[in-house]
Amino acid sequence: MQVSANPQERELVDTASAGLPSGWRRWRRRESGPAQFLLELALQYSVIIALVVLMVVAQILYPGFLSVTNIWNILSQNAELALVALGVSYCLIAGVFDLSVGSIVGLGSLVAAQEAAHGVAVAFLAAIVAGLAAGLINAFVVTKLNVNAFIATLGTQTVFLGIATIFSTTTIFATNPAFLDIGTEKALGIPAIVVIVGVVFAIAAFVLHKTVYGRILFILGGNAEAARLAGLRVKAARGSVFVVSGLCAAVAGLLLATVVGNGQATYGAEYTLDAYAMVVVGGTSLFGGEGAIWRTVAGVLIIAMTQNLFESLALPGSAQDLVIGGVLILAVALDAFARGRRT
Amino acid sequence: MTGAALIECARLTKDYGVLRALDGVSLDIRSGEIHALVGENGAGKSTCLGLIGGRIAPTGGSVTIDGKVLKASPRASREAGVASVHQELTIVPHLSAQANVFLARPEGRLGVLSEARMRAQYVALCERFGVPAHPDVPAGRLSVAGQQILEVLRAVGSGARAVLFDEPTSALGPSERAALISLIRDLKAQRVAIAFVSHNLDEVTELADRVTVFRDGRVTRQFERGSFTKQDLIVAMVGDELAARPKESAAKPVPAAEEPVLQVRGLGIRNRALHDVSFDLRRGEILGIAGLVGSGRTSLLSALAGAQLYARGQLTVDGRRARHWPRTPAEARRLGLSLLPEDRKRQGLVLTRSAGENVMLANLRDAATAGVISTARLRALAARASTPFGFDSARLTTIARNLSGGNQQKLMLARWASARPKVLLVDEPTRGIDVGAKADILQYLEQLARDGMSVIVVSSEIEEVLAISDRILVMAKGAKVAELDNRSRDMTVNDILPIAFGVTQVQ
Repeated sequence: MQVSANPQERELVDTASAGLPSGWRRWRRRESGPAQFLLELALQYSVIIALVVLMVVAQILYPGFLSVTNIWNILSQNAELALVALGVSYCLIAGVFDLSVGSIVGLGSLVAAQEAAHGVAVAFLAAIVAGLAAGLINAFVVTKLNVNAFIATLGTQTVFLGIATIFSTTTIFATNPAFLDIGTEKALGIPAIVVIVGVVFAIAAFVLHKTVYGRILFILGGNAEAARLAGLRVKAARGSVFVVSGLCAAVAGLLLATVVGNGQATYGAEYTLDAYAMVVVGGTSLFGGEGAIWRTVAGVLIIAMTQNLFESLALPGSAQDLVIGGVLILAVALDAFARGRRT
Repeated sequence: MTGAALIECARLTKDYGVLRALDGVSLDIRSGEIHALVGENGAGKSTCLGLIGGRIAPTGGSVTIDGKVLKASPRASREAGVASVHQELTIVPHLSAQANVFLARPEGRLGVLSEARMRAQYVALCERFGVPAHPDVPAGRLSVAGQQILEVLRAVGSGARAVLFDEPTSALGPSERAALISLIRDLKAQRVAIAFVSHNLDEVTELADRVTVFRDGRVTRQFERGSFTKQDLIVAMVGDELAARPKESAAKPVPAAEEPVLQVRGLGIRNRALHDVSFDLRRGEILGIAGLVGSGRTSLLSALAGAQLYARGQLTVDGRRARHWPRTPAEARRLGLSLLPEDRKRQGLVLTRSAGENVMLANLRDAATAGVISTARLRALAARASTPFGFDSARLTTIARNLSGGNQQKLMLARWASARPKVLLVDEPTRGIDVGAKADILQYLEQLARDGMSVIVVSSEIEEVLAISDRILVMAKGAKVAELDNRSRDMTVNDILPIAFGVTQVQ
């Protein structure tokens, strides 16, 4: 074992080793000076830095940007999309793709709008059942029929859209005021859907980062063979993330229906790619095993705020598309650069 | 001193297509026993462990644990109290070292992870093992030896009734190796049943209560402790006729003093994994690099191969000084330096492609006309490159994954022999390769050197460095601490180890 001769590095290491017996060090870790340490730290949290820079720039360009009203606007306009991105994060971390989320959003909006007349609870139940069913179908195709998840959900994306269209070819309007209130009501000044999505995010973050189940998802995404040889229930874990993303997408559809007052099979068409863009901008790996819920939150905020800024400045939609696409590529390139430094 | 049979294998058979890997093997492993499985590569010993561990499903026969027939799945074996240390690393690179140790059974209460409890257990395990491996470092950043230790900790910490080790020490340096051996003895004292596969016969003789010898998928002999010698094992492994192979002649002629092929001056790596290393290498010379784990021997080799981004120093090849230290393997290769990496499967071979393609990987152009590859030419060139290394050309169409470790290494040798680098860098040439093929591989390296290639060899087995090198660099703490002449092949481990450990000061 080589012992570091650099006192500054020793200092950094000892801080990192709090709670360990003395003499422990970040074993065989690349020895680094404070400058390199800071650089690594900055790269690790680059998405947060980018977010802060974005907020400052936005505030300068458009002084009303950081006003309370605008912030709640940004959050409530993107609450459903954030929920879809949450489900996608689970899938990517576990090392699978779910491309069917957009169709499930449409399906969820339809069944929720349909059942809204029977009460809010029934509408929720209907959306949850729809999301559960869609997720289980995905899980079945991937884990029992052994179809690659990318292809399987590319297929079910069309299947679910078809099912939604059979359910109703036209828009279903919800008239139940209690149902519509969810989309417009505020609790303590906070839009209700932001509260709902916020709570779901908190629970999801706890489950992913603090529970045995969450740890198994990271193991599965990081090295599926290791998970298998360790005797973990690989198929159950892999299947479960489709249920999570299905539920998230269907509830997102319900929330969408409460906001716009109706449901439609094609509502989710643009959600899939937007959700993936948000998750990836946040820094969650497309290759599995790496990511975090706070990263998804940051990714959602970066894209949502960029969009909001452009709308506030009344820029044309084409400029928005250009910049959002650019942001996505920049984020991934930065991630690749950081990864290159680490290995 | 040993108890009743805990694990019983009855007439186990395993077929892979037409190949019979295991043919009616019966053996038992008892509680409190250290049971060694030895044999050449492909003899069936790893397959046997794989069957007990539930990693592989048997074609025929059964594994019984405590009288119950085992279902063939890793989960079933784990639940029956069997833990495995696999030969291939099963590390999750992004997760912390600690999370990797608790991979199979993350500790939790009501499904919520108890990081503090895991931390305490982790610290206890590491202290018992004598390795202060920081729990929060991503496992992917550890060396192969470090990752191997995590695998061992994982199995040992699981409280299993039986632990299966497949080549547990092959990636370890002397001090970790000693720690592992004492750990295995501890387990035995706690009446855990231990089965281990090893190519290191000294280790087997030292540790095993019983030895089962495999040859061609069958059990040929079983020995009790103290009733055998290393020679007995070898005879049982390879058969009488091969065991009598004469020792190859030593002492090679002193190479004529000429301009060195390679001159390295002041090589360092910015993060101080290496500092101020200088040496020369002559044509046809084999330079061995010895040192403990973490001494910088692997960093030195990877810096030469252009795989160290932060390497700085002066490199002169054939009298021509490189403008800067090579920063990518492609740059190093253009200068004439090629690396035969330590981890064949991950860093060397494309496992899903044929043996022939793997040989020609670096020179595909030679087999192509205007960019179109001729399969026939590729095969012919691959055959020409690989037959000198004893590779059966009928197997050139075999998928690389399905070849034994020895044959895979022959492919790697063939690849670089045909690419003809000026300097071949070899990291752990015989890791995971059986006794018979080991000697072959070393002989082939000597052959390459005789043909004029210069070779630098890094090995954690000092005996290997001694057997093959004309000169030996001893590394410690990232620096060169000694440069020894070994042309007469008369040095011993005792000349090297004290220097590597820093006990002896070299003038």
